[in-house]
Amino acid sequence: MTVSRPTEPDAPDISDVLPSSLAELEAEAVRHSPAFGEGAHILCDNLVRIYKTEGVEVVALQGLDLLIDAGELVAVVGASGSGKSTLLNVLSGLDVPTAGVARVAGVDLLAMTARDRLRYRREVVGFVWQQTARNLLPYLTAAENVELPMRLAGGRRGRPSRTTPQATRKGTRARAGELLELLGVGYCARRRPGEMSGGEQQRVAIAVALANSPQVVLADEPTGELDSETSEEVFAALRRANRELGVTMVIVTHDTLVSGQVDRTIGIRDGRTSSETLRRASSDGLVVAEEYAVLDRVGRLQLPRDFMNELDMERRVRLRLENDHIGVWPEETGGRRAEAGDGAGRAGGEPGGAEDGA
Amino acid sequence: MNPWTLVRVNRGVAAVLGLLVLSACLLVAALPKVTQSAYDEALRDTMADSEPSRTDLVVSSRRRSSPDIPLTPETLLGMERRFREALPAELHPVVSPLGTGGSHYGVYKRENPIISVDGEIRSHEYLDLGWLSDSARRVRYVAGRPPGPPEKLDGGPLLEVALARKAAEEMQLSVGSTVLLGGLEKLAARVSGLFEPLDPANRYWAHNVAVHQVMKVTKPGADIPDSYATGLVSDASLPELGRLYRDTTYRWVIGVDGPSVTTLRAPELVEAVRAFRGAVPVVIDGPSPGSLETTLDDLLTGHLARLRVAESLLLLVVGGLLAVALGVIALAVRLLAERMRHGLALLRARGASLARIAATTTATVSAVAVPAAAAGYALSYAMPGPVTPIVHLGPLAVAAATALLAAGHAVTHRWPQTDRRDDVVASRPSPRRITAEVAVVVLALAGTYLLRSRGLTTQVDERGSDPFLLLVPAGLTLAVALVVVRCYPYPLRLAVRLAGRLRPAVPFLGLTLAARARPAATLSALILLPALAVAVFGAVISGGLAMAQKTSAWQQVGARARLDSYLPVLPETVERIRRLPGVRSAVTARRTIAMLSTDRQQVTLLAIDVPAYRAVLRDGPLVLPDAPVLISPDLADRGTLQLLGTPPRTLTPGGVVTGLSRVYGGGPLVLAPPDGSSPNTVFVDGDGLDARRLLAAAGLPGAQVTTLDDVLADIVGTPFTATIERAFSIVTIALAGYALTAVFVALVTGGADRAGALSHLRALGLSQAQARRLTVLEISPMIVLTAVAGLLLGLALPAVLGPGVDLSAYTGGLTVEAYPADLTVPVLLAAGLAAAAVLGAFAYAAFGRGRPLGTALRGLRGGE
Repeated sequence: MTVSRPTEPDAPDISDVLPSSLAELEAEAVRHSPAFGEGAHILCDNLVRIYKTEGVEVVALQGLDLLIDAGELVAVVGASGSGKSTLLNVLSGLDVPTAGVARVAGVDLLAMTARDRLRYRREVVGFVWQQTARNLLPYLTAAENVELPMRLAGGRRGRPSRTTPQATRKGTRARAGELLELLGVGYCARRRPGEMSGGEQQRVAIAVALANSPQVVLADEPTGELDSETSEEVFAALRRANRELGVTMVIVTHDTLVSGQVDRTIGIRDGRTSSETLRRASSDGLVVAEEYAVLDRVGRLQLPRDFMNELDMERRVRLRLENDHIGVWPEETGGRRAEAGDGAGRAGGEPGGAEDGA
Repeated sequence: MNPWTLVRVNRGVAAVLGLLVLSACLLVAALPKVTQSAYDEALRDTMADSEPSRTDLVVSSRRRSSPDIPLTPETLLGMERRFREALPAELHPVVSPLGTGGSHYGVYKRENPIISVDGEIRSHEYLDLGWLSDSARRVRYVAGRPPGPPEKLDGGPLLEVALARKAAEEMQLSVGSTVLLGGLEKLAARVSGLFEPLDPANRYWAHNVAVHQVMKVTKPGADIPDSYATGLVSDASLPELGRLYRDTTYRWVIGVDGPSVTTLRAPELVEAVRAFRGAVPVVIDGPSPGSLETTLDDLLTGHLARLRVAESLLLLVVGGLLAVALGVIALAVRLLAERMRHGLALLRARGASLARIAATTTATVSAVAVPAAAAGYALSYAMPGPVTPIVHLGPLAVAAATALLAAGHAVTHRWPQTDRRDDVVASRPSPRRITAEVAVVVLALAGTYLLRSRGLTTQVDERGSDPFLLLVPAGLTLAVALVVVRCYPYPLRLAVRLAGRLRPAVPFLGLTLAARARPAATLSALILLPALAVAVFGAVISGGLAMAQKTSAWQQVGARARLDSYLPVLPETVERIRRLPGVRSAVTARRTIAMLSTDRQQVTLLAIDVPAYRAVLRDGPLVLPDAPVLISPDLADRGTLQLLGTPPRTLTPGGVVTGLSRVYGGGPLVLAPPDGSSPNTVFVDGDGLDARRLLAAAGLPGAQVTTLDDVLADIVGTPFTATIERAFSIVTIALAGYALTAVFVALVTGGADRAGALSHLRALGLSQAQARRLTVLEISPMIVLTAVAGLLLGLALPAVLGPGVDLSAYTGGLTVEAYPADLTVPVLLAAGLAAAAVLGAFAYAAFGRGRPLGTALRGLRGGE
């Protein structure tokens, strides 16, 4: 990438604006801004995860940044192999990142002992997996499945729980009943998974995930095996839990029905967060979705693959700082087109150039 | 989580695991029990076959001078009590109280020549005088009355004696006869009555044979044997007997109760008998020397030597069986753990600690294993035999090992599992692992070399057995297993290359799957390796034993039958023998003792027609070189032999014959052409030779016939040999069962993966029949290679353990040097087991429940 100076004579020289080295750039960023992700409920900073086996190395996460606030309902989308599941495994404490920072509800996921990890699984996070059968023990009833995490967290049977308000077996049972009612599957309490539909099983699974009142629920394609009508029910259940219990929800999904209804959708590409789509209600009551590319702390930006293909961008591009945006041009024609252009940033991906709004 | 729920959910696998644990516990508890009872039976047989005078504790003393204190029954009883007090505590439970079994005491005054009976001169006749405790209630008088108090005759004592009726008739003595006895003292006896023993078979009489029958003794240089009868005197005559100190023997017999002498007690009994032997001279103080006459300790030592060999062999075999059983149990536990994996992973994800996962797995496995182990333990009580510690410890160890294996599986639920992903497969083993494997192989080879070069520890007697003997085969088996696992893909890849050129796809696919199987999957098939090695080892040992027993019998007889006579064997006698049905040929020989002129060494000279003798030996193990004069190996370097004798002979040996000298006790032997003197030995060849018929046909008084079949039956018929053979059979059957179970469990364990792969291939057009062949082809190479490795290991083990297993106790003294080159039984075993395993795989593939293709493929996508 080359950086060219604006054509206006009074424009400042870029060498005056930009620090001479990347290190200085980083130091500058740290000096002027508050600590990255301060106050975020889920924080991933430059997260790297490399799987190494004899002779084979798989880089699943390549410096992923992610910030999620408490009580948010976030969808994570991405192609197969983009690193979604690895991210979820790291956040659930199943996996340890190779480098970077991962913090959930103030718990540093890189510095956990086995005991911390267990407490984290019991108190901080809950999970819902894609396969309905994987979420529930087939030989226990729905209510028993929901009671299971509470009993596991309560230690020995009969001993009052340290982590949940349900001090006794009776309390555990009552809590399981409440959760099942909240998620609309109270009538399934005495049924085993084999006697329930897929949607009912997933809603019971959400109840299981919520059993120990976690602060975060991680769901890996919770509607992946369901038809659209049932998906709607399950998603509604997740949203109800988010709204009524204030639980932060991270949902990995391919389902547009889900990703289209959350406040924020985070796209992951090649082990990095690449885009974010924010949804807000407009003044006329319609939901407006705006897609943003993600700029990381050191200024790295992932251009959408189709934008790059369209303009044959490879290896090097030209950048030009304008008053309110930065222009990006393919290597050969960048300067010429910049001169011909009117200098206004374009939000779309029209042929001939890409510009990012500042 | 309730373990019973998990057991109920996985009841099929749980049942298999339960059966495996039950059978392992039963085998490990019952086999030592049954063999121990066979050992005891062997000891009982040995005790019963031995003379009571050899197995009972007999304290014998001679008086050198006349005692001042008169001899009374009370004095003897007092001594008896003192001996019993001196008995070491270990002997107390096995000796019978006075008056029962063989326990009694007595006095004999021997070597009293009869001068005359009622004035009639007698020669070559003796009347011994004896007093025995308890005699009154053990005899029945058939004439006269019991002996009374002594009288005087001619200034010397006249003792009244009672004689056994048969002995009296033989010696022509009747009630009222007065017998004048010679010797230094003046002595006479009068027959007061005749008796018959109430129970002649009783051990009491076995100690006093001379009392109820006439003994014939031929003294050196005498032509006519002397006859000895024994007369029993009364209690009142005992002081008189005590005064006769020349040739007077005192005997205290402390009977040993045969059945209560058990193998377990044997080592301490040997020590106790030795201690008692040392204590006897202390009890008998004074000028009368006394000693303990018993061979009980030697008898027990011999038994223990045979026992040790049997134990070493059984330790190897049962150890191998236990290892295989535990291996199969480990597979079943792994299968159960795999089945519970999903549930446990979910528990773990929902907040269960690792300890809790371990506890749940262990509790579930224990819920199956503990009742099964208890059942196996209880069933072992139905088997005969003493309860040794191994009967309790064996099942306990199996149950504990099963629980530990289960707990070990919890480790797979440890997280985070760094650097591992299911879709990233290790392409080569880590250097650490290769180093460990190389170390195992090197250690096993070094151990084998050491065992072969140094033999077993010299302290086997004290320690029971050399742990090295068990470690080396175990190490070798492990080493061979590692080599097989590491190396088996190479020949397979070659086969894959060849199969790739063929038109059908199934061989190529099957061999490729086999070559690419993960080592963990191949480990299950490796259970075949120790199973086959132990089974083949057993077969080879049995074969070697049978061969050595046969050779030993041949070496003891020298032909299929042998007739020895003191009288010359006439040609018509030989002709009668030849005409007997079953007799093929007979060759005569003259056996004499000759002396070497050089160093006066005695040699046995067998004057025989060597070619004729070779024909008699035909396909037996004894081989005669083609020369008229043959010698045993100990005479090999002496050159021409000068033999003194009548007539003196000069012989030039033409060859050496091994083994044959054992016919005549193992001393130097010379075979030479007949010199014309009349033969005294006949070697007979034929089938179904019967000693009695041969003897009857020969019609030679005093002749003896030994047949090969009788000698072999004696060698083979020991309970020990039968025990070893039986244990080998049981273990081989059990091993075959375990090996098949292992293959089955391995197939079921890898079933999901295999079904997935097959579903993919079926979607590409593979037919059901092809899928079946593919499964068989995938599993067969490992089974076949393992079977070959197991066969080779089993064949090598007897040679490797050569010095460690001395089977001479079972072969009539012959060391088993070579094991038979006949590979029929081992190869059949290996081929049979491998074929059964492959058939099992085929049956599994043919009758296994297949999932509908759609379900299988969808399951694959979902990663379940």
